[in-house]
Amino acid sequence: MNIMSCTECSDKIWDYLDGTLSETEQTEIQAHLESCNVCKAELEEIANIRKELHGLPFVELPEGYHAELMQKLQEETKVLLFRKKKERRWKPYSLIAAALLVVAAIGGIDSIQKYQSVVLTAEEKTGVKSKEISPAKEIPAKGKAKTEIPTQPKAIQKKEPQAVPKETAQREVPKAEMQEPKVQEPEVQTDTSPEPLTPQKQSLQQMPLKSTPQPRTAEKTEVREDMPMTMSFRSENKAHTEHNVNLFVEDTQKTLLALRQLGESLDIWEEDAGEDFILFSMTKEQTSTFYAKLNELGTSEIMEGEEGNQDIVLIKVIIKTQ
Amino acid sequence: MAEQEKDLVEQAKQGSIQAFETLILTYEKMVYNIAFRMLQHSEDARDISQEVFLKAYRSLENFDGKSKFSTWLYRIAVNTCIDEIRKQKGKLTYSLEEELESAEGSYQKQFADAGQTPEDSLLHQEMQKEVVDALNTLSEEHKTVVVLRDIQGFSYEEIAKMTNTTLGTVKSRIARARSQLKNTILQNREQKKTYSRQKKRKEGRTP
Repeated sequence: MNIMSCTECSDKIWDYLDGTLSETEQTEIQAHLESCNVCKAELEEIANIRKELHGLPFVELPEGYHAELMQKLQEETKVLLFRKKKERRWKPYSLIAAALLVVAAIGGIDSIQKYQSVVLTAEEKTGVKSKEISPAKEIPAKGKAKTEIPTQPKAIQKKEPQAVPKETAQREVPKAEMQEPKVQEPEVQTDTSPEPLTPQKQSLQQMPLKSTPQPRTAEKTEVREDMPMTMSFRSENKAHTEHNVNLFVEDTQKTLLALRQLGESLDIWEEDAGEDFILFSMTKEQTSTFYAKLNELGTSEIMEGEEGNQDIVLIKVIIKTQ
Repeated sequence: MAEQEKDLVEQAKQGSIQAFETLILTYEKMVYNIAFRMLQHSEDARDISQEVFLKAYRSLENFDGKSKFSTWLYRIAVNTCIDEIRKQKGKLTYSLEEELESAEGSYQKQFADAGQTPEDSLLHQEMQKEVVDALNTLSEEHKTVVVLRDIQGFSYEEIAKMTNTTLGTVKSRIARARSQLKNTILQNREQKKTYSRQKKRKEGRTP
């Protein structure tokens, strides 16, 4: 016969009350409890505590919780959208330029005549409108919104990279026109009140949020407070400092994960990522810490990059195996 | 239901805030309750639990779909709460105020926060307060497992996933946590008895 000790019994009392013990264990405990007053008292004590814990109410959400949360999420999407758009704006031009160079290098000047098809391919890959459709973007431009409007048409058809190839040039034009009336609203609203959430909300309902450019116009000041970015897109040339860094490691997947976590911990933005790279954007001040932490992940090799005059620095970490 | 959720997750990843909203509606209350029981403060719980959803929204691309969405979400909740507890511990004045409050017994606020009703018997209220006070003295790890298991009723397997540990760790942690909890409750009771005895003596009454 198995005689259970008080220690053994005491260890199992919670599980006994939870009903998670085996049949044999249950019988053992019951037998022990019959003859042991100490453990019986212990059982009662624990049963009371357990009852209180279980009895703690499942509280209701406080008033206005969900509405407030949704508001915060809307704000968040604006922030995310702004950063994505800023990055997307200049990137495709370099791709088109690169494509042209490749074509010229391979086939000589003659092949430049075939650039139309090359440009279209680049457009498909990046979802960026070619300059042929630019008239549409000039129309909604007004004095105040001049800085943001030129980028809007591109943002319209910008979705996640995977969805892009499905879009054609034809879809882009009607969407640009669709944007016009809506663009007017926030501008009017900004004159009268700082937070025109209602008109934006309505239009937000109609479209996937990340391709809506309006919030930027109204929330201009707010966004500025949060991020050190300047918004003077007066010319089309990029003025970002951009560096490529080769990171030599042993395990690509593991490093990718670590890189992401690093980004999160430093509170820097992940603009783009692929199988073996992540493109981060951060302020100049954050770069030194970033590089220092990067060295902990592997051997880093900073490549020559472009120097710009913006506060934001773009760093592309390319993971290479040793 | 699982398929529906998968679709919603995909849509949310693509940027649909409506999909994300539908997704989280099911879990809002639980996330809030986890925060509430971990932080023992309704205002904090509100802010922190909302922060959990924001974090989830920001890092949606990191959700690989291998686990349940709820598990992934609750894990963020647990981590966020633990971080907040640690942060608050660093602010000494805050915890001093809490101590004073309990000692002076601002029962009203405590019970309003605990979601009790006036119909609950006084004894019941007393006992709940005992347990809640003791719970607050536990370390973050211990508090987490007790909140998740004995208050919110998650299984050991789920808790292991939510805390990113093994089943064994969860079981041993909770055994220690419960033991600690029981001892604290008994200690507090003893202290109260001593205190009331001293008080009565001061007031000229014999115990």
